[in-house]
Amino acid sequence: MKDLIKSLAGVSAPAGAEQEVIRAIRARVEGVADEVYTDTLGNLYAIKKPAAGASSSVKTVLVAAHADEPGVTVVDIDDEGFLRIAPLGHLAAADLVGRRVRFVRSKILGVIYAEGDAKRNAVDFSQLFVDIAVSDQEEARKLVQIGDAAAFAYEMQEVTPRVLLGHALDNRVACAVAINLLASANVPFQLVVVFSVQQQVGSRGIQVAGYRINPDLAMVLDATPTGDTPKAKRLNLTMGSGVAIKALDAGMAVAPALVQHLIEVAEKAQIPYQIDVSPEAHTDAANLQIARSGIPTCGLSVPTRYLDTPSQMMHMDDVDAMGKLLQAWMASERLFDV
Amino acid sequence: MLYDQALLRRLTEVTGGSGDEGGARQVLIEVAQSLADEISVDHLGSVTMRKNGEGLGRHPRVMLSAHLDEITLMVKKIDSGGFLRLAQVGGFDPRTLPGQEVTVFGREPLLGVIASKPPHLSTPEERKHSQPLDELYVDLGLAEDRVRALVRVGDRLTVRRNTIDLAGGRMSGKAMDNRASVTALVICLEELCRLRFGADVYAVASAQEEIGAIGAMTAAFRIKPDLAIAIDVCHGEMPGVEKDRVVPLGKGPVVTLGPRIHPSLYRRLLDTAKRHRLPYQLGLSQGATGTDADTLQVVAMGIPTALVSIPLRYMHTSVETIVFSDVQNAGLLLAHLIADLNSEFVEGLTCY
Amino acid sequence: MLLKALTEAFGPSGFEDEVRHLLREEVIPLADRVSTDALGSLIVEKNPDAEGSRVLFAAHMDEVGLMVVGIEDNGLLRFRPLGGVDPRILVAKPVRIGAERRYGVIGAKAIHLQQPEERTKPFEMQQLLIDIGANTREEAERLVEIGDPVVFATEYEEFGDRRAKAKSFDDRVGCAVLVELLKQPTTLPLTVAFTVQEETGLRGAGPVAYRTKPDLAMVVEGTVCFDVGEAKSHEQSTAQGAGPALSVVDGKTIANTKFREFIKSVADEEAIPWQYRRTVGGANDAGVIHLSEMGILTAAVSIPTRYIHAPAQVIHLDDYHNTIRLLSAVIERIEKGGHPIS
Repeated sequence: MKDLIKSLAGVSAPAGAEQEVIRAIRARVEGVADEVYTDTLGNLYAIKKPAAGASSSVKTVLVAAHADEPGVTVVDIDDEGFLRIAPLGHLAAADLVGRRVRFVRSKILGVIYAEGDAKRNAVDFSQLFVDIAVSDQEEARKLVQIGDAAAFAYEMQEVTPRVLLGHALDNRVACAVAINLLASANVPFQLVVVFSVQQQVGSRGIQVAGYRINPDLAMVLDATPTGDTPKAKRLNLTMGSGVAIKALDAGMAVAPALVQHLIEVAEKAQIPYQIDVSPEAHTDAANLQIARSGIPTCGLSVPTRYLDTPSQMMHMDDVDAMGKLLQAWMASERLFDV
Repeated sequence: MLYDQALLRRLTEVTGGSGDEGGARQVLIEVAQSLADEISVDHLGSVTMRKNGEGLGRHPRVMLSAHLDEITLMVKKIDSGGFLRLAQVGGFDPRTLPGQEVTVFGREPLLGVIASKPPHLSTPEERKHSQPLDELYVDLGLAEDRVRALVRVGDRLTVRRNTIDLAGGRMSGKAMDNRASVTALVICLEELCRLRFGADVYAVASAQEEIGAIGAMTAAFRIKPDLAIAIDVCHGEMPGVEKDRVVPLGKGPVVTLGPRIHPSLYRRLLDTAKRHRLPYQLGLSQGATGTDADTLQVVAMGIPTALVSIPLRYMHTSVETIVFSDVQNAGLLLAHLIADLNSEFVEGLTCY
Repeated sequence: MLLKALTEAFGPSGFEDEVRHLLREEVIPLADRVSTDALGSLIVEKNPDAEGSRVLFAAHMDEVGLMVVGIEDNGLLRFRPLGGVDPRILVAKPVRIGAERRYGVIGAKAIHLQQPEERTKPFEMQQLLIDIGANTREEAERLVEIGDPVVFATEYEEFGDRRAKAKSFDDRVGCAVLVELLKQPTTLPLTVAFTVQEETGLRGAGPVAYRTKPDLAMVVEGTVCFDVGEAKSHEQSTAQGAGPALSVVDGKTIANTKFREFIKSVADEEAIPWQYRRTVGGANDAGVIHLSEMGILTAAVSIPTRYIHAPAQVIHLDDYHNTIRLLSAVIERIEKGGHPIS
């Protein structure tokens, strides 16, 4: 599992330019899914048909994990060859000064810095630039064009054998859990796993995926903030204490019956869990539940420290608990009947 | 009239937070049994009460949408000592919360108080600032282990409030936004039992309006109505607020004009009110109305949409105040609009 | 003259009737089918039953404006904005109001009467009133109605170096481009939609996309241009005279790269100048069209417009003509079997 996470978490895949990570995921699901395809926005769908002998009125469960991460896009190249950028997703300009990024199309590295007269705590994006070590605009244009996107360029690392650190653990860890699910699933319903794009800019990918698949039930896998660091916001979750079962986030309140069902499954299978009330967290669940006539949607997340920074921290115990609870939930007899 | 203040009182005194509308839904379904041809509940919790029109051929489909949910709070964290930290499900003004009694819907309903620091202990400097929601907490008067046994993160709570009759037919309580409109919906259905009409009416008590108007949107996608009318509350007149943002209480429901509203449906509502001598007031919007109308208008190929509102003071507090005659008149206006509809008018709604 | 007629027509968001009537007259001889939808968007189809890629072009009819919300005892009108209006550009401008297009002026306290500290503060919306010449509330009520929409009274004029100014190039210039495109013969199943209410939240385009279900969509906009004064390259968004601007990223869309490359290749082959839209601010109808149903391949092409959302907006006529040339060439390319994804 750690190797799978590591292979996905080092890839740069900013919102709107996810092709590299989508390719990597595709290579891993093609052997285990019955059908694999992408759509206009770039979402990857991996479909597992029901086990033999299932009835004709077969139901569909959608499991979604977004593949993108926050990043930056080039809006201008100046005469000296410095790139001007704008954010893709939730990044604070001040947090980017001195960070390394990799461009998706050309693979080149760059470092983000701020104009000399920018105030340290009040930097805005118009003052940031990316240095790609060229001498003028012409040279820069050979490597980068306006619209190119970049994301953090840091390898995943282990703080301890059970604690991971990386720039895109949100949400490659969930992608890895979903890939494992496809490999092992043998279920009496149709399972559609969507590796969704453009979550960071407002869950755009999942909007069209939800419309396309129109499932009977949906589960969104993501990362969620903890409240266990010095003077953190007052949140319930602590790293290493179990998978987070979503009750509320910035976009939705999960139906109480769906939350209760997940709790019962977790307790029965003795899987550590915590309840997730994160009023400021955004996930694909909110946009998925409003597709067509409405889709019953719930969510599991990995409690994560330092979200939206290059040093996101997760505990493997929580990741394992997410995988186990997902499997147990899908095996539950009452899945469509809560 | 069968459905009067007693129904509104009953509907406001039960609980039905966004995404957890069960309490209000139960009362509504019980009441609507005798008024509708079919009642259904969808995936997101919206209740659809269908009433079939008379006649052969294709019936115009009319959707009415009054949201069923109310703003509530949720337990975000249990702090040491057993004090509950709060998240909001829908927009509260946190300044209205200190000192309120609440009911926490844990493993059993529990009475709690939202704590406030007594003036003797707070500094003059502290008293100049209002406390944000994140600093407020609920005291259940129980030991921490009892709290942890009875309450878990994700449980809902509401302000504990009985609805009060004020002078002049005014009623005051929690969740008038939007049970007043749900009551108008029931009054409309009841009136339709007396009237003849050719449209199929889908009266929807929509779920989750306070967190994105998503119940109305998804219900409309399923129903695909030819026209839709949202029923909600709007701000009642009060001192210190610009006159053109508010309307007086008791002078009739408000019919809104603006970009979200279909112009002929708006005029039709005014004409209906005049013809049946029902009082009405004019509302103006320059964009978002903050109601189900906003999402209804752009569902699928687009739906001709209108908005009827009931004036209400002190919105999103636990003393929301309305005049019942406005509720009755809203219900009657909707019923007469439906009874007076014809296919020609409905088909004309897409011809500009 | 089409640009003059379109830009002078009255059509704030939600009140696009006059623009729609005018466009309908223009397109009826050019189309196989013309219809309206529940919100009032005008949908124009050519060869609806033909084989080939179903292409949708969209431009919005509405403009930013104001709405009368109250009348003072002295006959002056209170108003609120319809769409995004900066109150600082309203002072001392003539406007037209309601069904009769009645003239009014937005006055302000004379500088002689202001305290020194007042002079440095911008006027706020609540301080501004429209004067229609009425002396009393009753007199005003006979002339206008509460709820009446209001637009700037600017007239279309050409000036300077191939420039034109008018009140509503955002997005009547797009509407004019689409009318010109309809004049070109084509065998494609082509839909041109003139949408409503873009300025109040991209409202009209979603239902149009759902109804027309195109394979490809192109949005034509009058977009932000600030190539003036001391603005640095990355603060300009677009430059006038440098050709149609291709969208990269804005507030609601990350544009499809392949579609943009396709349009670029057509421009380069036809030797039509083009530029990137170099800002992430703002949004247009592409934001809802590309997310309709299962997702629609969408591009946005814009005419750089200085001072958008203000009374006198300025375009370069070369950009206008080059946009028509470019889109016309794109249609021909698709007709010959070209496709962004191939």
